[in-house]
Amino acid sequence: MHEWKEDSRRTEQSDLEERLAAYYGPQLREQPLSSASWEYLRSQLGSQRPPKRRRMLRPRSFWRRGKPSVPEYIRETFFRIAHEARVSYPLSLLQCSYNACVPTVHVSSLGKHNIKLVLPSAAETSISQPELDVLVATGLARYLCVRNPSYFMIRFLIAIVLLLASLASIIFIIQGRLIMVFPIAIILCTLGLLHVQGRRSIFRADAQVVKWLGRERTCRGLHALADRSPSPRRGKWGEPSLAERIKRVCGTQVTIEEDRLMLVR
Amino acid sequence: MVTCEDDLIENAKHGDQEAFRHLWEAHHAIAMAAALRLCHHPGLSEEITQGAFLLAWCGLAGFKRGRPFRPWLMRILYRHALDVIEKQQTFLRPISLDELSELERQAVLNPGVGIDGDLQEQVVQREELRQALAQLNPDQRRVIALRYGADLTEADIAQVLDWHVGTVKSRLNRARERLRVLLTSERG
Repeated sequence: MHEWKEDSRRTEQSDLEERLAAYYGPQLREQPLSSASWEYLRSQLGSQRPPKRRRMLRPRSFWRRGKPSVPEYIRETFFRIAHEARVSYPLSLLQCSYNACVPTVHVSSLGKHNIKLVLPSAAETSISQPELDVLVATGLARYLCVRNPSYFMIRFLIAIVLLLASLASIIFIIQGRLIMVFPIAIILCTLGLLHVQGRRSIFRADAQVVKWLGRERTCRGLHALADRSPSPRRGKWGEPSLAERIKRVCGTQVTIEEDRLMLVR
Repeated sequence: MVTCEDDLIENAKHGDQEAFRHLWEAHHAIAMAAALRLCHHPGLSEEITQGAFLLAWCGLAGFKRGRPFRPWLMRILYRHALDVIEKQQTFLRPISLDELSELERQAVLNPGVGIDGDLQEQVVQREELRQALAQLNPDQRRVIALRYGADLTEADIAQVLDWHVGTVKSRLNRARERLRVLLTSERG
């Protein structure tokens, strides 16, 4: 009698196990979601809080408190453009400051924040998306150029030549020798070289931006930046003017190239 | 050993959404399948999966470098799924034929494990079990869901729910006993 009860209990138990297993079903194959799901999730993510311990140990955190971090709309633009360009760089490369009439981007190969966006105050409402796209893309493209070993080597060699020539010219000036003309000429040449190299790297970066954003978007962004600028035809040392950049990106040279391609077809 | 996933996690910890997107791409489909198996509702399982990733994003700061990401994510997912199921009381909704046929379709795609027999009979049996599960207390439902809906061992369940293994064992036994009584009385 006792054994019969035990058997019936065991049968009931295995029956229950089977029914529960059937209720939940077998392990399912992977269920991929659409990319829209990611976009939705991304819109919900918000900013990431840094780990507490690091925040406490960071020595500059006290005076940095209150300084603006990278705002959400620039953060979003940065990741979108990095995705379009298929490059992956951390957001920490980017730094924003707000004291300019005309938005610009500065890139350096040294330091923690290599891409520095200088934006007008209340940029979120005053700056258009094409302008921001071009600025961020230009920053990334120039950063790629700056990281290029050949660019770095040329800059390094020029810096050494400049230093030696400066030393030589000081010595010759002190000694009052006429030969001082040569080191001064070398200094002027190297400065000219730096100017040319800076301009070339910016044109190369613009070509890269066109590849990433497309010519139409790049043109719109550059035109919007030029509209803001009081003197779009004035370039800086080592930097072409906005007008020159627009001419290169949207101007006649492009049409000639396209015509040539059409003739080949 | 530092892997590519570790780098992605480190970057995501510092706010890199692109790195987090790579993690999402690598793990969301598995997470979604696990959530769907637990709740049987595609819409709700997507909500659970997205919620779990949001929780993971917020909790990344506490993630220890070098540990595998998926078990950590799945623990979050299971805990979140059970919370959502209890909150929305999905066990009170009758199982529709559509949901069952979807499960059957899934089973066909997984050879070796199938749902045999008449579909109507299965619906009746599942309805009985659903009603019995609805009468359990929330802790018993949680432990049953993780044991049979996620195939977790008692030790794993203890980790997910933050209980002692002994507690898991006793709650699991009590839940089974109660289910047996409920199902027998229904048939009787």
